[in-house]
Amino acid sequence: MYKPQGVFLRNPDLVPAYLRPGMWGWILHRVTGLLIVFYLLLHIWVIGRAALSPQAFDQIMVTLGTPFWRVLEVGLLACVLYHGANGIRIILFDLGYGIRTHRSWWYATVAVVVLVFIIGAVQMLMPLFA
Amino acid sequence: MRTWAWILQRLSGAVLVLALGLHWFVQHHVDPGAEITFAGVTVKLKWALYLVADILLLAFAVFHGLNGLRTVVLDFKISRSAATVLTVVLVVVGVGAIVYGIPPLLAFLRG
Repeated sequence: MYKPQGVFLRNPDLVPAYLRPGMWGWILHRVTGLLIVFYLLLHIWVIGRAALSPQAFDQIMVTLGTPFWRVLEVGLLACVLYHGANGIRIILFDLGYGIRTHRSWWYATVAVVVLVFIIGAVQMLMPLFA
Repeated sequence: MRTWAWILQRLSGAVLVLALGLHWFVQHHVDPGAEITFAGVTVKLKWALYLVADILLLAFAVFHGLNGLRTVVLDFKISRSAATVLTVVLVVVGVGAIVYGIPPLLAFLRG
């Protein structure tokens, strides 16, 4: 029988080996949320600096179109898609919809996110191979 | 306060799904493949509705992001005084980010 230790004593639901879909949904929501808020502040700062002059802005946009930044942006797409779709799922639960079938909704959310992500990622990465 | 933090997080989240979807679509798919340029953004922002939408997006995104960050940190069961400090710091960062973020949008209009 497994005995929770350390941080898992406070929340046994977080023991990796015992994670269920709902917990994965919750953890992913938090991790993607933290990544997005970090990006958001960076985004506001970069656009704020770039908008100082048209030349600076266009130069930075060219830099952001290079493979390194483009791939990072694809990662951003994944985070935003998941966070948004799972956010809708959370709001529906809060309104009382779908709680009993939450596991099916989790799989549906992941399926939609993966599908839209593949379409978006292909569109974003295509110019790199043109 | 907790209830408000929760309700406003849901409301701003719902708004963001729409506003951010529009933002991403306009920036990347209206004219696919085209580079984002200063002149191009100026054209978009000169449309008043888009400027208003962008400023609202900025405010909602900053609120939703920092309020979410607050929720995550509070879940670590920090002390009451630490929570107050956290709230004050996040309000300052949030107001700062919004105040910092609006003038650049207006800068596009001056060209």
